[in-house]
Amino acid sequence: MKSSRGFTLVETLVGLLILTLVVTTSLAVFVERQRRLKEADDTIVAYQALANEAEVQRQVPYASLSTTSTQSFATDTMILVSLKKPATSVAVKQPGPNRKIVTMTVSWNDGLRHADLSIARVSIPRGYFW
Amino acid sequence: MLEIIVALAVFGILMLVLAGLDREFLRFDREMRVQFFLHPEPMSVLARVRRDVLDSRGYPASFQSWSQSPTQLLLYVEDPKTPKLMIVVYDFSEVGFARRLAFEGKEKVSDWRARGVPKFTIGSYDMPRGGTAVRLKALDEKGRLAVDQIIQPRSDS
Repeated sequence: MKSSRGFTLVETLVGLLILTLVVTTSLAVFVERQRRLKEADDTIVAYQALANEAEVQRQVPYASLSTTSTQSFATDTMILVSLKKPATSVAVKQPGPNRKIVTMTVSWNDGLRHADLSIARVSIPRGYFW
Repeated sequence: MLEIIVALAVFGILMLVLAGLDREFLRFDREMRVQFFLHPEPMSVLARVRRDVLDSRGYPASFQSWSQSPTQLLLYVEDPKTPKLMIVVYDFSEVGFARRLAFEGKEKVSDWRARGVPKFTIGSYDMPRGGTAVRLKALDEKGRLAVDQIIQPRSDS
């Protein structure tokens, strides 16, 4: 009887399937890792700009916080240049008497990504809290 | 014999793919401004500067061999344990290092050093509503702005 050597077709296909699974999984993990790292880096940059703006917004007199208009950041936003199409806004809401919520937002990637930071301002008889 | 060769060849291909991915990982990481997640030191420097500047009461012009400059920041900081004023010195003049020293009188009470940090520089920033803030910047190896923090002492606002 003639002896047969080598792999059968089934063995070869199973081997290729396993290899494909391993390579595909590795590639997917790689792509996802890069995406998340970039997002995290962008978010860190955005929060630096938010923290800087909070330093200004906590000083704005309570009465000057307008709930009708939205403004852009008063601080230098040079750090945001690395983001794709960055935009900034400051909005004020008044949920109750003597209380205003100042929300600062940085958006980028055509508004698909954003980070925001809110501070509560409270008016008291002889001044205000932030 | 053929089976062994084929198995080794397949394993070799797999290794090549993994090595290629690893190279891409490193290339991508080098493009990041500051690797905040791979190395926590830049964040720990930022946290310490922020805390000290917020609690600061003034800026001595010089102390021992240090003086106010773009790479050195000197602060009067109230010690939370003893209500005494400490002099805190941040020294970023050594490339790759950040150093924080604290003195009570002439006695050194703390010396902390961070390694592998970007090039920090100190400046001032006039706040739109009055007062002067400390502006801490850091550039990455390619000269891109990686850190830009404006911190105003609470005693000044």
